[in-house]
Amino acid sequence: MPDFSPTQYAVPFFVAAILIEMVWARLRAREAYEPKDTLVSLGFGLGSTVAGAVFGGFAVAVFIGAYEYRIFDLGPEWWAVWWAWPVCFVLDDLKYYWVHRAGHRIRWMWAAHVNHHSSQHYNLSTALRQTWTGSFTFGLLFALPLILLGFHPGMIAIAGGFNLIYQFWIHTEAIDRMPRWFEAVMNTPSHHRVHHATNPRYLDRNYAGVFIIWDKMFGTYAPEQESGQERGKEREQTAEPIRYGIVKQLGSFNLLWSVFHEWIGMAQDIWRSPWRHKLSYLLREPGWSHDGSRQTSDMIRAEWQQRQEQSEP
Amino acid sequence: MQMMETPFALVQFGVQFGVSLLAIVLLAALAYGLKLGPAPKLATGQDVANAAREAVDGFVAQEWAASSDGSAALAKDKDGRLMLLKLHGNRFAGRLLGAAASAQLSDARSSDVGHSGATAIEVTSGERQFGSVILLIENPETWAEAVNALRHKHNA
Repeated sequence: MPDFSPTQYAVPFFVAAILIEMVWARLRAREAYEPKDTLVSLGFGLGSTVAGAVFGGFAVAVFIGAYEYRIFDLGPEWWAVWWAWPVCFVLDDLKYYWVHRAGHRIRWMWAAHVNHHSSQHYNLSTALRQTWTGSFTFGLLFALPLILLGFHPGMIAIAGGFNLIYQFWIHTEAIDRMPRWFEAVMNTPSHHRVHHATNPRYLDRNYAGVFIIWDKMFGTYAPEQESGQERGKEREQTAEPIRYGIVKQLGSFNLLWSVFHEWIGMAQDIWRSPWRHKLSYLLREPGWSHDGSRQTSDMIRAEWQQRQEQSEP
Repeated sequence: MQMMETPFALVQFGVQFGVSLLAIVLLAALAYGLKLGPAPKLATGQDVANAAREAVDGFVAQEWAASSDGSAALAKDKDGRLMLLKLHGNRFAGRLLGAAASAQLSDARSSDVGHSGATAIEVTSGERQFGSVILLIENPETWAEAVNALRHKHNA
């Protein structure tokens, strides 16, 4: 089995790209970066590599075990089966879409994934704001169908690595729109800005990793608004500025709080709630509460839509 | 073979960790050096209203008091909800204040910021990590009273 981790080789590229974006920010948009925010984002990135090294072994063991039960066999030299690589890459991206969607719609998964969204900035350093606690969710189960189909865990890991590298460059405000054909098929900075937005119209949209087609197929796609595009109506107005982060912004640069705040909040909710609601705090969507005292993204969007309709002439 | 590989892998990981940590410190230092992230100010009612609406969608500020240095504000909507806004990096973060919030007049003086009509008020959000915020505002007593009344309102 080849020992190859594409993300490790990509690190110098990540650093160089952040440097270039910082220079762009200095010249064009100084507000795009904030030193403490950058420090926290990069701290997340470094910590996630340690967490992966410490806890990743469990997932590897599960995958290797599951591989024994594969339906199709690509043979002992699976890495030499050329057509398996693009197929694996596309299927892994489909898997990414669903695991990412679960990461936003199931609080247990969100507790880990919220880390990536906790910055109020959107720049290349935000891309490195990776979770430390993904191993404590059931996200690994989403890869099992690929393994049972016969894709070796090593092949899936490499495909996933390239997927992650692709997603790095789309975390930027320095690029407006890519060519139309590219925007139609691929995930782009524009599509992913929508994903990181807290504006009600954009909540829980554009879960794609590499190919935006999954969102279009499964009904979760939202385009970034342009001037004069307000809900498809022909009237002049400026596009609504995107706000980044989470619905309840942290307001803290404490790295450990940033890492664990949702786990702590979830544990408190489970502890304090009546027995019949405890599981819901684990498995229902973020913002759900048994007494209706909080708002889910669907509720926020519904209220916003209602206000929009009321304010229309 | 395994015994040979494990220490080597650990050393390799340690070196990667060290180099990455150095790169992080250098990048953050560069962000400081390039003076990235200039702080915005809450100077007008519109600024406060915008920041409040961004913090809690649908919040329409009807009364407001911005700290004279522009770094924080208190806002009240038509339903009597109170929001505390504070500068977080170069963005604003806000909290709707509840029973755990409190406010007291602070020792800081208006002369500290050269604003003759302002007095300091320290508002504690009730969330440890969000913390407390000192604002230099006019009529701080009124705002302190409104914040402290939330405790009684929720206990009633």
